[in-house]
Amino acid sequence: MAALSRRAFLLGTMALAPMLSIVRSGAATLRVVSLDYGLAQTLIEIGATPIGLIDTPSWPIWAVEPPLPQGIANMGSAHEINMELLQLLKPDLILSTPYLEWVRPQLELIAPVKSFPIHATGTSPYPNIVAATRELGSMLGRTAEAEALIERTASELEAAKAKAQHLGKLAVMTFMDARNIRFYGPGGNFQDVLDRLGLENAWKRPTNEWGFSDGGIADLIEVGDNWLFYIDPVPPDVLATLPGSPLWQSMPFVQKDRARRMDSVLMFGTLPSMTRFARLLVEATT
Amino acid sequence: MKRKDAQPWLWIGALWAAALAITAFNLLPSLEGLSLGSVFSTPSPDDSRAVLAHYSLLPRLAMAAICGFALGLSGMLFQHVLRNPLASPSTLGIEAGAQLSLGIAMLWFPAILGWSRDISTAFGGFAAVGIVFAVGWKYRFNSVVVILTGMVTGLYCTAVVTLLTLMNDHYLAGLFIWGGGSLNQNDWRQVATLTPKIIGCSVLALLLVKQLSVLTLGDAAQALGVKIQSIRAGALFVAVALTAFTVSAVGIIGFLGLAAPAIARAIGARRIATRLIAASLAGAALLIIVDQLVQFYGAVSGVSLPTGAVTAVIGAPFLLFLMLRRNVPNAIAVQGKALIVATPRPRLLLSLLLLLLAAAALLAIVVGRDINAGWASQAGETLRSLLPWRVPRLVAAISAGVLLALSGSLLQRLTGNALASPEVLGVSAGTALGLLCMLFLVAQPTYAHRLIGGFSGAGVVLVILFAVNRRSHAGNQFLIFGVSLGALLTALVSVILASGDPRALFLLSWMAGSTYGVTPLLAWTSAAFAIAGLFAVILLARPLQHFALGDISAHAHGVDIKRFRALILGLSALLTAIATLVVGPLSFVGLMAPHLAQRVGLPRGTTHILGSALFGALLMAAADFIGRTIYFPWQLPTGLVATLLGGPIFAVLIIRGSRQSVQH
Repeated sequence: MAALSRRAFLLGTMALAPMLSIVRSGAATLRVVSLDYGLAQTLIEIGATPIGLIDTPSWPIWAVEPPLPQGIANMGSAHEINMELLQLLKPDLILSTPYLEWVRPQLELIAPVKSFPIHATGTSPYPNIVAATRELGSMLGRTAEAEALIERTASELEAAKAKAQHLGKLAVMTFMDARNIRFYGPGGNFQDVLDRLGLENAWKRPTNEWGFSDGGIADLIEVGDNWLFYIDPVPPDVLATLPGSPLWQSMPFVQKDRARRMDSVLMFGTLPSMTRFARLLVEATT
Repeated sequence: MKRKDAQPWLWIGALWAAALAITAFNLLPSLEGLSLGSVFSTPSPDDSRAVLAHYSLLPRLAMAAICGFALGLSGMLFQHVLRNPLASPSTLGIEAGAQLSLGIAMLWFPAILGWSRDISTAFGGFAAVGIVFAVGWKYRFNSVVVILTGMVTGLYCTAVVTLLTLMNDHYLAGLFIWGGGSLNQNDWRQVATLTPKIIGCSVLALLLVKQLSVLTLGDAAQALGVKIQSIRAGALFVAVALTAFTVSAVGIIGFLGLAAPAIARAIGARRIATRLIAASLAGAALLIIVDQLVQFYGAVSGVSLPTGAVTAVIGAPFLLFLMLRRNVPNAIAVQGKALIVATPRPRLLLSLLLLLLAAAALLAIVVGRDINAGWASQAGETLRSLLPWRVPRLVAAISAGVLLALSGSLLQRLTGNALASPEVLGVSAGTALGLLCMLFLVAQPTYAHRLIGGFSGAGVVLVILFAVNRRSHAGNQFLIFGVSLGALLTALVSVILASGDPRALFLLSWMAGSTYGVTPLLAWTSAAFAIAGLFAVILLARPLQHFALGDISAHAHGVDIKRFRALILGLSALLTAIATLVVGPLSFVGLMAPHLAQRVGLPRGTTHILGSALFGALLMAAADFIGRTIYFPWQLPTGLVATLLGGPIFAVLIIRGSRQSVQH
């Protein structure tokens, strides 16, 4: 696994070679567009705010933290990036994910493209996120800020670990609708946090390469009397029907008052999402 | 005689025995050690296994039985009243209409959902059936017309749902699970509210049985006049209501309402009362079997699939099988062109269209939005930097419009059916299925991969089309074949979407007709094909004109009918495949453009072909511009915008225009 990520890193660096010269010459004013929420989180945290980002209006619904600075251009949906606007913005660098690899030739006509494989790589995302943070730091002349972010995250997670021990075993999920839910587990960002906090995931079934698996309300029975966190946004009809559902009411975690609604956290996020998730876990139960 | 009457019940008994055996196999391990009392009465919250059995496993089983029953009954009513073995809630577009209505409610009227989810879905179901019947009425409910209209309506609704999902991909995830027909239950509340509705409808259906049996007398019954019409209307209303209730409770259970009645007929149920009951019972048993297998698969693999999408994946090929086995009555084709007056000055009209196209293209190249989203006409250096983004997608869109229009024009002439089109032919869907396979075979497919996948898919459909062609002479069968492929595609995509696979989102945007990833090479290749195609089709115009007059006449003019048909099919399949790779399978431009050309007074010959091509190009150029600018910075897929532009116009044309032509 380590060899694989190193190879990916080396390949990435090789592709970046021509770009790095540009980067070094004008590191202070590099104009970056991010086509991924998670990478944008890191950019903002290390003080290299992007000039453009996909779907900016939904940021407060899905990512929340860090707050989006004013004046970031909306590049449209991730499925259909507004190439014309991208051209008019004349960025120096475009940050992307492997899922946009198919439009890379077009993107490269506008600016150098750097793609970061973080999720669905066969490993847990955390090492990939740390590697991406470092790489972004060195590319954008913010090495110190990147290291500071990594250390800050580690210490905040360490601090949360002490406060979260009462949780023991817990499950994390979102409601797709009133009858279908999505559980988070190995392969995802949230599991990384649970591992760092020394907590156990109560959802034991296998998850897909993105770190989630789908189920029905009845599957919640497997959570037992452990803590259950359901993440916002919750569809409106769920909140209307849940209190009246005998199945929900008979769940051991409901009876023991261990079900908690949790504010939005980006499931495909980077370090800021992980600290946010850890903090919300503690806040929701204290 | 008596033994023959008993036979259906033996088969139904066997089917139920199978359903019960599978249920027992799947559920007994979960129920083991539980007393009957603890399962059927309110269990104590501490007994988690009893809670699970009482609030989830058993209501889900009951739900499967009730929905299967309702859909079987509904399908049989549709088939009997419309005298059409291919009619069903799925093939009439009712389920897709309901899904669209739910999506709209979810996004813009969430209050309705909090109040009653049923109302919003039932509304959509009745609206869809209204459209299908508005068309069907004009054609005296001709089987093929009704099914084609229904399936096209269904695909159209699905296309709009696709657009909504693309714009709000996180919010509508629930809609896709719902669309896939999830039978998950949390308690008995849904079963309790659905059951009385279904019982009420069933009683009504049985009351109508006596009158319905009159209908089997066929044309002789028409002497009864008005009464027959009101019985038909009543039975259809009951059938739509059954579907709408079911759909609003659990979502789309694709093609179950087609399969159950077919089974009832196949096992020898002859009288209508027998058929209705047999179809209902068969539907219930079938859905139980599928749902239990889906549950079992979910437990083993950890992947929970929506039951309704699974039935659709099984059911769409079943429609093909039905169509090939029985010779569906399809004597009357939709001849929309018979009485249309040709314009005396076709050249002037064509020049006008060309001028319009040039204006639209110019607009699409020069006008856009600036960084602050203000409208601007760009020039000089800025325009030059934007050309690489505007020109390829415009060229690709226009070429695709021309290609689809040509293909549609060929097919409508070949089959003499105004509803024929490349989308309906299934080549679009075949291309999409090929691409789908490629997405799952190759981890990060390049453009070449997708091209190969798409072309092989189209090729397979082409080969099947030829095989069917050899087996039958009826052109209309191609159409139903194609539409059912489209339905299969939709079902597969909804399975993939429901599984939460992020690859599906790429698929979704391509299906919506996005010209976003078009490279200059692809754009100009498509343009070259469009020009070559235009010449080829013009060369074929004369023999095609003879062909349109009917096989016999064509034969008299020395046209080798079989070879000619194969040639036309091959050509239109090729044109479609090239266009589909650019704008996706659901644009319907190939259906609309030839109609528009006819309506403005270019009904036949070379002028019709040129007119269709110009309309196709115009529609796509306008869609390209609108999609790029109207909701800036968001980019709407060109194909879908074209559909949304042309769809309503087309619906009005076909409903209004057919009145005269049916009197032949």
